[in-house]
Amino acid sequence: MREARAPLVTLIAFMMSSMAAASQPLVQLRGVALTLESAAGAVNILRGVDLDIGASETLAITGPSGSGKSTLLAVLTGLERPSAGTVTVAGHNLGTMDEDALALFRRNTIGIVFQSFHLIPTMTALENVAVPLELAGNKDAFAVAGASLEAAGLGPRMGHYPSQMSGGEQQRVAIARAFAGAPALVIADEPTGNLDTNTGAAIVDLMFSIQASQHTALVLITHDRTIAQRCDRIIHMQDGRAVPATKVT
Amino acid sequence: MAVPLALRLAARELRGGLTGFRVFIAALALGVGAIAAVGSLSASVVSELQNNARAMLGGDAEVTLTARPADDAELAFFDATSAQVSVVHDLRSMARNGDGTVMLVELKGVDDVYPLFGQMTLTPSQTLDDALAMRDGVPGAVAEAELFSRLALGLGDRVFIGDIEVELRAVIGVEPDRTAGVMALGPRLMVSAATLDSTGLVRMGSLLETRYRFALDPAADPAVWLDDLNAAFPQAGWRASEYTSAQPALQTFVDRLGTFLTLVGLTALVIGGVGVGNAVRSYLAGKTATIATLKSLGATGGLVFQIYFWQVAVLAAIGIVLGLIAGALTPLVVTPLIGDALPVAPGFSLYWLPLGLAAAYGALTATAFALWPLAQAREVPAAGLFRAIVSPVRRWPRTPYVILTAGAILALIGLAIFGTGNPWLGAWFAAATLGGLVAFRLVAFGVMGGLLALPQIRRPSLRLALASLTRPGTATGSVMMSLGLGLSVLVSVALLDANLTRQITEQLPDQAPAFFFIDIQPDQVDAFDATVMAVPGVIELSRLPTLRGRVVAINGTEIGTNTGEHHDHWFVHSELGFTYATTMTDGTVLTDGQWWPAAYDGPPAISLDSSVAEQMAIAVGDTVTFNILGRDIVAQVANLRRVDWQAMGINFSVIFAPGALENAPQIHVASAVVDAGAEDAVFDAVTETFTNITAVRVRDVIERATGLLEKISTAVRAISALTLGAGVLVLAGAIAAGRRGRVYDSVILKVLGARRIDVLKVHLLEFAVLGLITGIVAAATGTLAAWAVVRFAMDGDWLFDVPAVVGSAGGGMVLVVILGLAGTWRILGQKPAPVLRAT
Ligand SMILES: Nc1ncnc2c1ncn2[C@@H]1O[C@H](COP(=O)(O)OP(=O)(O)OP(=O)(O)O)[C@@H](O)[C@H]1O
Ligand SMILES: [Mg+2]
Repeated sequence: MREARAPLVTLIAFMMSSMAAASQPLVQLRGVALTLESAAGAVNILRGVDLDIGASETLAITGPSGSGKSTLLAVLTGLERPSAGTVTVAGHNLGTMDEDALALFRRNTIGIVFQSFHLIPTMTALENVAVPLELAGNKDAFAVAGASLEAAGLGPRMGHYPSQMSGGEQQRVAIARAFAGAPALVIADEPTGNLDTNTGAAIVDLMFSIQASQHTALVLITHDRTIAQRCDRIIHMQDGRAVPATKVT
Repeated sequence: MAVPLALRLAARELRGGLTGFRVFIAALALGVGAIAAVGSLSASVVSELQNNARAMLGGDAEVTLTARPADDAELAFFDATSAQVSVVHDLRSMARNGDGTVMLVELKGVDDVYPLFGQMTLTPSQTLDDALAMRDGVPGAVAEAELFSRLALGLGDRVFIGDIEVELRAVIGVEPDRTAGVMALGPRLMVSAATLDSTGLVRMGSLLETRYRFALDPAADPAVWLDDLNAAFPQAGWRASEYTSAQPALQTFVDRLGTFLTLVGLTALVIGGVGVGNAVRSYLAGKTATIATLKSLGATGGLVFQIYFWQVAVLAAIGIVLGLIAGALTPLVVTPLIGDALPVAPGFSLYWLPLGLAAAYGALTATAFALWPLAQAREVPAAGLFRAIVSPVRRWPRTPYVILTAGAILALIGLAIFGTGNPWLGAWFAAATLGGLVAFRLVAFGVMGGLLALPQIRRPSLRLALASLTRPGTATGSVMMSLGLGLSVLVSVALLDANLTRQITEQLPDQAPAFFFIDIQPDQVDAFDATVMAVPGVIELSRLPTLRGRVVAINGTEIGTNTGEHHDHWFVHSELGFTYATTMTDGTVLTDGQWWPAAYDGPPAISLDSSVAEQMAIAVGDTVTFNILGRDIVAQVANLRRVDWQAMGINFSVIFAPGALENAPQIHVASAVVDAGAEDAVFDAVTETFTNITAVRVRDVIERATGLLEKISTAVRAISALTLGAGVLVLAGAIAAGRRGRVYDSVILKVLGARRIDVLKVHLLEFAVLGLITGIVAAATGTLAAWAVVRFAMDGDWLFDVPAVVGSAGGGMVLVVILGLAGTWRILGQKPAPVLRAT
């Protein structure tokens, strides 16, 4: 059974906005700011970010630690609400959506790859990849998940639990999970941060090859210049602001 | 059909095993099991009482007369209206063996149709008629095992009663109408009616009960029959009852005890509920990252809630079912163990109502405690995943969950009040339990605040121990709350027990009689007095003549015809004992009127108990008509007298002035105050000289009474111990949940150079402080609760029993320390390296 809770209205709004999506860039950020109240006073984490990302574009985000890169992705995926500005992804204005609508939006539109993998420890590789498909009500969830694991070169490891796999293997599973539902947008937060250089390179190759075959937009946070160079565009975060950076060829 | 997604994901999560949920399951199983066991046991006893009501009464209906046998008109009515009549005589008497050892027995003479209902079982197996028959000129008798052992007799031996000897032919196994719960002063000795007649014990005025038992026409309604009987003989003065309403006192008692124990079990369940909540909370804390991940993959908060709700529901169901199985099987195990203490021997069967109630209590408790952390879990912010720090949410859940939790708590309270059949007691318990939980929570807050506010402590081990108790996220508060409440239940039960026991034993008047003697014949009076007074150590002997009869009219208005407000008072509807006296005994306090002169020879006059006079609205100068052995005597009330019934001497509500009763058939009763060392000599002297006089030793009576009380208090203590058991489970859960932090701490300590003994000392101090504070607060609250019950519910004098408090609270504290150390023992051996590598 799928989540039957989303009210009909949300569903209709969702379909209408999906149709509107064609004429716009996939992601549109306007004046996005995030201020968090903390014990030490207000912290301005994002200070007015404007950003467009086209469908099937690849974008690298670089910047010093603490500059707000991860926070930007959290806002982009609807996991964090900005205190000002608008975020539009695939035609959805995230600011107007309630929590359930955001969940629906994520399961249909977005895939995420984390630096520390975040596989569900009680589930096998196959089940981990199947979860978003199951959430989306895909009847062939396991078949599709199996195929994406094969594509990620993990065919023989499908029945293994995360604790039985190396970091690189876990990240492959995470990538398979992010791409399995053919989302319009995949974001990855330092996907190679916890891996050695060789393994990291293989992971990045995998992501780019799937991205290319599925025409997915890919947003990638990285400290690694060579990886950033492989993207269509690079932006640089500095003190909560996004600055376009030039690609060196 | 496809399994719903929430269930599928829940099942995947549960594959990991039940670790961390053992306490959860155990706490629910313990509480539900206790309630189910108590409910099943009391239901089985009550239903057995109902099934055996006829046999226990001895007939469809029974009429008991004490002062006289039934007259011809009454006998004619009995014969005409019933299918069969059986007559049984009961009296207390002394039985003696050949060596002269004497003991009090409950003597019963039965006719040849006895028992009308139920089956008598004898060892060796034989019919009752055979056993009681005359053989070689000696009548037979059967007796309970106690008589054989106390008199050192075997089968075939002879025992003397009154003027004759009888041969013991069998041991009584089951006597269907031997109602337990009615105070028996000695073992049963049963003979035939003819044998009883020949003992010479049955004389005019003997304290003999004659019971007529009736088998009615199967179509007849016993209650209707009884009404007809009383309508036909309004003045008979008998005690009459029919089987459908004969046992309610015993049933009510069993029901009450069952209700009380159910509520104690419910308290254990609620205390365990704290552990349930903690287990869910710590399980979900471990699932925070998974929950966040699910959300990042597009799971709604509702789905997250469902996934974990189902897991908790399945585990709760396991705990509840385990509890129900244990509870349902308990009668099977317990009945043989406590068989003697039960009024009946119930067979095994399943009682769905108590099991259903126990399951409902379990489900509601689980809901009340688990819903909150479950609802908090759905609020886990997934954005934390980007920073690898996802922390559990502590904020107030959404309104629907708050309402549901409140609903579960209210339903639990409602079920405690209305599901147990005693709303007041239920309400009391609910208030006390909730109040206790809240109070202990507040105390825990206060204590932890106090510990934090302590100035810097020099001793490192104590400082570390206190730090461990007060660190953020510690379960100290809930452990104190549940252990404390469990312990205070135990303290108050111990105190109540001590109070009850002392009320029976120590609150006897200083000069309480050691003996009561009954059935002293008028011609034995002088010899009796001389015999008793001749024994050294007799301090005081008081003897009074006594007659039996009943009140038939007050101020000329007949009782039977007057259905006024006092119609139901024992003074007018049961048989009374009277005495007569010339002078006022020492210490008598007259509240109205004058005592008669020593040489009184006027018309019949009486002195009346002032409280009876008040209740019956009788004043000095009014007349009361008595029927004594068939003769009506109209007596004027000369004075009112305050009677202290607790003084334990012989006393009567009605004392006649001289002149009215001297010549009527009568017996004397006496009481003797005796030095403890002289009791045996007095007993021997009286029983050797007078075979018909029954000597009741007060010490034995008290022993029998406290024996019954002890059985009940053992049951109460056993169930109450479960409340502490539930508290201990909460402690165990907290230790298990805090294990990781503890391991880490102790490893750090070791790295810094601490020896094992130092780590042990920290743990020891931690649990000692926890146990000490909890024990002190529990002792105080438990005492307060017991005091309130004694003062307000039992209206008694309060006795503070130090050993009871110290024993239960101190025992509880020691238990906390031992269990705490046992739970952390393995941590001591932990090698530092692997732990450090893993973090
Ligand atoms: N919940 C929060 N409360 C207060 N400050 C926060 C919170 N979350 C993030 N921050 C702060 O916001 C700033 C941006 O954090 P963010 O994680 O987005 O940085 P980042 O660019 O991803 O850094 P890194 O490269 O180290 O991952 C940091 O200074 C961080 O301390
Ligand atoms: Mg980051």
